[in-house]
Amino acid sequence: MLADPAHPLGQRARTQLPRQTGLSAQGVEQAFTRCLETQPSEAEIARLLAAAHETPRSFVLLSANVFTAAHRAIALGLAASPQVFVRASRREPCFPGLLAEAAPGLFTLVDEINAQAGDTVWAYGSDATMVELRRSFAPGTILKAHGDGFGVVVVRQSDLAHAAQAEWGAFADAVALDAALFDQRGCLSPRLVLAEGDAAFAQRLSQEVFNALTRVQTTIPRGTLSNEEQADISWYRQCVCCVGNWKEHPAGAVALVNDAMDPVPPPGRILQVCALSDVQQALQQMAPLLTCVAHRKNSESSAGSFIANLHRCAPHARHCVVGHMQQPPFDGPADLRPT
Amino acid sequence: MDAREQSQALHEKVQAFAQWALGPQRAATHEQSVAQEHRRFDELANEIKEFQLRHCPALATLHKAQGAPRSSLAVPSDVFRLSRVACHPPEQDSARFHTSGTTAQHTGWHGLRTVETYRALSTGFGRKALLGDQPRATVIALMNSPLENPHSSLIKMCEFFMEAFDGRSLPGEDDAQPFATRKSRWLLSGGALNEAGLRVAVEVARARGEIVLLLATSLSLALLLEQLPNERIALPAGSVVMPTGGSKGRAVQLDPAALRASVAAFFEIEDSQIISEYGMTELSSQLYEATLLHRSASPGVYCAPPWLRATPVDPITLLPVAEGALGLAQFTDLANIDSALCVLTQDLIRSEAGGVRLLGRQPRSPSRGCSLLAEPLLVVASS
Repeated sequence: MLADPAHPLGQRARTQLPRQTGLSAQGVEQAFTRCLETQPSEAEIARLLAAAHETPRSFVLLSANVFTAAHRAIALGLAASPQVFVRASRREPCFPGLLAEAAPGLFTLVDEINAQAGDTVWAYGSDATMVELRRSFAPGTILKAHGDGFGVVVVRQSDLAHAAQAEWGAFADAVALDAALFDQRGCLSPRLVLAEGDAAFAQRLSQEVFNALTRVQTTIPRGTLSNEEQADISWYRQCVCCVGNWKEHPAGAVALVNDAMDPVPPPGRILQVCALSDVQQALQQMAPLLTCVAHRKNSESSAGSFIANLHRCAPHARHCVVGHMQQPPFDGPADLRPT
Repeated sequence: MDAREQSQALHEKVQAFAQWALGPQRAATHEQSVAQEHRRFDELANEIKEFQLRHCPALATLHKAQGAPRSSLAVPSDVFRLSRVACHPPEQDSARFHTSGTTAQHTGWHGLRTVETYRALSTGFGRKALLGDQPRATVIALMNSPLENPHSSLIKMCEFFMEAFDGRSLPGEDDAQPFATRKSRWLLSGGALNEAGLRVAVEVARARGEIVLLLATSLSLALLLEQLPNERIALPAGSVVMPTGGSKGRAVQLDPAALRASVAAFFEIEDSQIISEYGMTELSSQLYEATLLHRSASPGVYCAPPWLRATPVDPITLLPVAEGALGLAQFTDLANIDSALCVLTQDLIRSEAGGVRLLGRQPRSPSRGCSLLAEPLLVVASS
């Protein structure tokens, strides 16, 4: 119903969500088309059910960053318990409200989480929020806390060494698409492009990604950024301008740095291309923060072992081909890191 | 002149400016003095900027960058963690001060070619802000000693204060011993407070007929109050407590007003004798609450010395905000000769009569993701 632009609920969603989320109308539409899990497979549902342990009552505390994530989060709660209470984010109450209308009686929207010992709380938000939640709940409450995290794209010079211009462009377009969805506010959104190779490779890659960001703007325009997001970008831009190269366009920006740099880019379609000598080492070091690692689809025989190494370096991240970072299988929480 | 000689000449000019600005020999009227001071500040700032653009790679990169606002050559404090911000090679560092890691696990550092300007300027303004018209004080610190924390710019400054404002021995101290190693001065060690040492110093001050200047972090003062909940240690009249730092890293945040009241009660001093300091490793100059400098000053309003300008800037445009509006603190510090003249922070300030009011940290976007500055993200060196 919600995914259907002809249905009254779908129409309301398309009217309200751009205002609530800051996404452009096209950004909302793309989220429905590409990211809302309307046709999960039987196998995925079986895995999702297995991921949820039985609990007397489920409480779901939603974040505002990715509106479609409410669907998966509520489904997990329902997989665990017949009684599900959902507290929407104050910044994005629209989509959970529409889901409640679409599926009356399936779950209850609440203003407060009143979990008791034995109940399970599925919480999505910042690490700071998770720390507060841990303090506030009654002893014995089970908290499944999904805090801060981000995605990275990994690419080696050898992956693109003999690639034609069209292949470079296709790879960069896939990176830009992953960043454009939800305007990069999701925990799976790529923030860094870890480029293993020489400076010229990183330089060309950053230019290709920048060009791709300008291209994706024509089909999925960037939405409105909050004052805080704009301030974060200004700070980050000023940092990059001291240590690297910065290219900016109304569609987004690309930073080129010689290291994996902290701070990482804020959301708003800002990508950091990091020139590295060893991406696996970098990946291992940042593994606790990684929710998703994307790589280029590669038919070379060496690709299999490389991808296996990426899994070993970031064992709790989702791994996928670039361009699919925002489309994880409907098999459990989007963020697979231990809770 | 080579870079080192140019730097040295600038150090001498800044020290001369500071001496003039704090001294009685300024122009006859207040208006003339202020105008003269601003003119000399601007001239020195321009000279230092030109020097840094020639010799500090981070500044040169920022200057050339396409994306940075042309008007802003402010180096964000984070950059000290990302890159060396210095006009001289590392082998010429005479001191390296590590940033405390306010919000980040990965700390940076500020390398000083010479500490003499830091010494002269911090003691010059510190004397005025903390001692007022008192010629001397018995100076102690509720802090670790420089031996335990050799890379703290704050502790180094406290050592300067001990030498400059006190300069004598406490019982058991050897006159020839450097202040850095005098255990009776540094009353925190391994997380334990030396309460007996505090009481001895207070008695010495009484016998000398002078005030105590107690230098402390907010956290160490909170620790003192927690450890001695039902006690009081009366300081001699006119004594000053200088707290610095917030309560970052502490599970329960401290209420600054409540802490101030409790500290005043504990030491039996007036609230106005608690003079908070604001400083950071990335700067070489400090601000103080101005309650001793100007009796009418409000607590919470921090006064900068004549060689430091605190400008609130818009967090998005990085341009100065309208009078009275809130903005990020951007400091132009003439004492930062060999690093970055202009440093941008994420502390929020507002200009008020007599100085600036500190109003916490810039809120970050909820979707900033990743409180990543607080996370163990790496800086991976590439070959």
